This record gives sequence, structure tokens and C-alpha cells, in this order.
Amino acid sequence: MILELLIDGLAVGSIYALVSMGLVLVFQATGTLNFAHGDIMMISTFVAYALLVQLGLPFFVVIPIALCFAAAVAMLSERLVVRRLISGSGPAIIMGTLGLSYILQGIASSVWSDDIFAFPKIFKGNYITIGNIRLVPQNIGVVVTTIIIIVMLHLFLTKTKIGTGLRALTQNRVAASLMGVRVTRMYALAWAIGGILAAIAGILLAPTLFLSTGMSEITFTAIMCAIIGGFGKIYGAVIGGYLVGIFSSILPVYIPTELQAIIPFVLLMVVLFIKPTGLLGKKTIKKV
Amino acid sequence: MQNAKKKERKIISLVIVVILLLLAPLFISNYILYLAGVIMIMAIVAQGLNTMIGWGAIFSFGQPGFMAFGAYFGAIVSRQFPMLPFPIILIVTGMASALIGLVIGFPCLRLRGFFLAMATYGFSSALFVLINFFNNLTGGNEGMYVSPPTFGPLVLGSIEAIFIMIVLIGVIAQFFVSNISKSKTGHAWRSIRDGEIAAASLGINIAREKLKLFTFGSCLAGVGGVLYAYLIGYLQADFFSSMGLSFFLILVVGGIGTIWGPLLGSVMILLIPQVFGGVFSQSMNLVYGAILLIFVLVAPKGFLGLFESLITSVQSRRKA
Repeated sequence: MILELLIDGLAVGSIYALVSMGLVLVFQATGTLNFAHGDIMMISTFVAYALLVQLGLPFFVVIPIALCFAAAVAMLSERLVVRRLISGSGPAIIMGTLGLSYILQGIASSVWSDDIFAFPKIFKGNYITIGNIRLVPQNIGVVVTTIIIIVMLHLFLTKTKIGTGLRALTQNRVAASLMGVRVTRMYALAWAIGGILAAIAGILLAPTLFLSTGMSEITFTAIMCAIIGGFGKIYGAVIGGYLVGIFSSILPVYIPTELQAIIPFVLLMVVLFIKPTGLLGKKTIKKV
Repeated sequence: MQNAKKKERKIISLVIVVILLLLAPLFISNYILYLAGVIMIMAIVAQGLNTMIGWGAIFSFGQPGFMAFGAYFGAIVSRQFPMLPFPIILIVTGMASALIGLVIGFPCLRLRGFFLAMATYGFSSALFVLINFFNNLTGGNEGMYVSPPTFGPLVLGSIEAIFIMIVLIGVIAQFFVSNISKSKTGHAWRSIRDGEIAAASLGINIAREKLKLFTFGSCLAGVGGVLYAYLIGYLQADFFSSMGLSFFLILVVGGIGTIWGPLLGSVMILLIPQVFGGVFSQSMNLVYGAILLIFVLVAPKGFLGLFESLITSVQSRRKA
């Protein structure tokens, strides 16, 4: 029973990890917290839904298109809105991405309405039984896909030249640009990767949670996961995501289910109380 | 001398506006009164957020939560103690909201920027869950009815009476904020916004001033919540959770950090659905998002900022 719930938690945590990894990547590279992240995820999942169900295309065609769409939306948002605000004050950027979030939400609800849609499963099949544990193929597929993506992202960031440039940008923007890193291109790249991660998460999440415009609320949970892990650390986001996923699957056994929704917040408060910089965060000293 | 005269004129014009507002129930239909009441309540709550963001750079997503707390607290108190006159309930609720603000603010204000925003957002959403969870106290999903405000034997159930109450509270709040902004505390708060380290080096206790600011903002939200409960007469947690980001919208449109911005912003934001409601009812979010983006990109100081820059450009042209 607990083991089954643990695997459920890992699956949910994988989604959170993917979404908050994208958030942190964008935050590290550009210093912007993207409140429209969940909306990019939601609208690309809707595009995938339209292609899959309404046009009847197969998965291997749909997924690349949806991912490209997510990257395009993310890059457009960056180019048209965020880049104009990035030199301004903090509030302006927050308001700007909140505005983007409203707009994407509005587009989705006027094209597809606010109803709930059933999204087809990628990983089909019956339960697999090992001993007395029942495994759901969807969950296993989600966890495995996420691990593959995390490894790929890690290799990209550490082994390729572009990835190294991206990491250099997060350490020192000016120095990176002096060493020949094209800063604006890197901004666009970070946003595109973030969008793609979000779209993958959306396509993985939609079969179990159903598809609706309310899906974009995951932004806030993902931000909490990222803070739990120590904002500014990609692997911290992974840890935070899995922690929140596991806790919010297992704890409802012991507490009333209605209270499940506040588990991420309680976890965040506990972590911040013990370590105000998050699990992997380091204390930074602000200079004048 | 010139200044004193100017001030006098200002006060007189304000008094006239307030009297007109108080007389308004005689001439206006109930629906418009109701709308105006909601606008003023939103302005009061937005004023709380305005002081937090505009003066202390405290990004709080907690305003809907504090408003819900105030509304439910006031409603439950007036249900349990029906003899209490409404001013007592207003004061008690304001104090209780301030206390919650103090308790929440104490750990949260050690955080900064995004972290603080998330912690306060978490407070709000946790509160909505708790409201639905304790359904024997709050009615849960089915909501609860609010008994009308009373004063001794007087029952002020009519919308006109509640409207006048809202106007009076709004005027007091506005007066309070505009006075505080000129006081020593107001200057201290604004210096925190402009640079925390510089402010600290001038001997301002940052932690304490921020906590004061947060407490003040939550108190305003709580009072706004009670007024909202009285005006609507019925409460559900969804009312407040759906307000979500509208206070940010109000501030951006009105002008962050200005004293009249919240009122102007809430007039505009709440009238938009009345004007465009028929055309865009399906995609109101699209309209709001577009407005937010346009203001942030083109007029970051909001409508008041636009107005001011217009005036200064006209004046400089006249001088030239």
C-alpha cells in the first residue's frame, strides 16, 4: 500500500520536478521568475490535445509539434515582453509575466473553453503486479521519462559548449558576455528549454489529472518546490519536486484528504524555518 | 500663505465629494450602489497592498487571504455575539487581521522578493482550504449567511446604510494613508523601498518597519473583508480565491505607490467587465492580461503617472 503510494508520489514528483526545473533554468539564466510557466504548459498540452484527438494524429507526430509550439510561445514571450522589462524594476517583471499568464489563460479558455477534457494515455496497458505491489504503466513511464530528461539536461549543461555558456551566464552575466557568450541568444535558449520541459510535463500529467485551463495553477506549486530545493539550483528543484510529490501522496493516508492541498505550503514553511535558503541553497551576502 | 489656501481648498473639495457620496444613495439605483460599494472595498484592500509594495517593496500575494479571514472572522463574531454593534465588530476584526498579519509576517518577512510572494501565496491558499475544512464553523462549500450589521436596536440591513458605512471607512483609510505617507514612519518606509541597506545605515530598523507595514496592509484587507461580507450578505471561500491577482491589476492600472492609485485602478478594473462584459464574457482574462501588459510596457506608473507626466509636459511647454 505504502509502496504503491510512494510510486504514485514519484510520478507526481516527476511532473513537479520537470516544471520547476524549467522555472529555475529560466530564473538562473535571466533572473526572471516566470509566472506564466504553467500557462505555457497548459496551452501546449491543449495544442497536443487538439492534434491528437481533434485531428487524430499519432503521438510521435504530435509530441514534436507540441514541444516546438511550447518553445515558440516561450521565446515569443521572452522577446516581446520580458526582454523589454528585464532592465527595469522587479515589480515590472512580475507584473509582465503575470500579464502573460492572464493572456495565455484567456486564449486557451476562448479557444477550448474552461471544461475538463480527457487526455489519451501515452503509456497504455494493464497493471503490472510484482509480489503484491500493483504498478501502473503510466506512473512508471512518467518516472522513467523524467529521469531520462534530467540526465539529458545534465549532459547538455555540462558537456556541450552552449550548456557551459548557459551556466556561465548564471554565474556572472557580465563576465560571460565578455568571454563571448551571446547573452540575448542564451536568454531565448533558456526560455525555449523551459517551455519544452513544461510541455513534456503537461503531456505526462494530462492523462491522470485531466486537461483544463486550471492546470496552469501548477506554477505556484512548482515555485514552492523550487524554493524548497533552494532557488537557483536546478538539482534542488528536482529534489524539491520529488519531496513535495511523495509527501502529498503519502500524507493523505494519515490526515484528512481535504487538507492535501496545503501540504506543499506546510513543507515549504518547515524547510524555510529550518533553512531559510532552501535545502541546497547557499547564503548570499548582498553588497551595496 | 499660498500653501495654506491651497490646502484649505483641497479639504473643502474633499468634503464636498464625501458629502455627495453620502447623499448618493438617494439618487442611484441599488445595483450601481452595490457596484460602487464593491469598487470602494477593493480600493481599500488594494490600498493595503499599495502601501506594502509601493513603500516597502513587500510583494504579498496574501491580500485575498487576509480579506477572507476578515470576512469570515467578522461574520462568525457577529453570529456568535449578535448584540455587538458594528463599529466594535469592525475594530475587533481589524485588530484580529493585524494580529494574523503580525504572526504570518514575522517568519515570512525574513524572506525577500519571490520567496516572500510564495510564502504569502501559500498562506492564502492554505486559508481557503482551511475555511472549507472547518465547515461546521464556516459552512464549508455551501457558504454562510452574514447577519446584517446592527447598532443597538438599529438593524442596518439596507444597501444604502452599508454603502454609507463603506464610504466612511474608505475615507478614514484614505486619510490615514495620506497622513502616514507624510510622517516620519512614511519616510522610513519609502527609504526601505529605495534601498534596504542604505535605510539600515540610517538607523531604520528594517525588520520592524517591514512588519509594521505588513500588519497595516493586512489590517486594511481584513476590514475590507468585513465590509465585503456585509455588502454581499453571503460568504464562500471561492469569492476570495477567485480574486487572486486582481489587486495587482488594480495597482498597475492605478499607479503603484500613489495615494489615489488604488481607488482609480479599482474603478477602472471593475467597470471594464460592465462595459465589455457582453463582448468578451468568455475571455475576460485575455482583456485583463492585455491591459496589464500594456500598462507595464507603456505606462509603468499607471494612469496617475500618465496624468502627471501629461501635466508636467503641458506646464513645461507653457513655461517655454
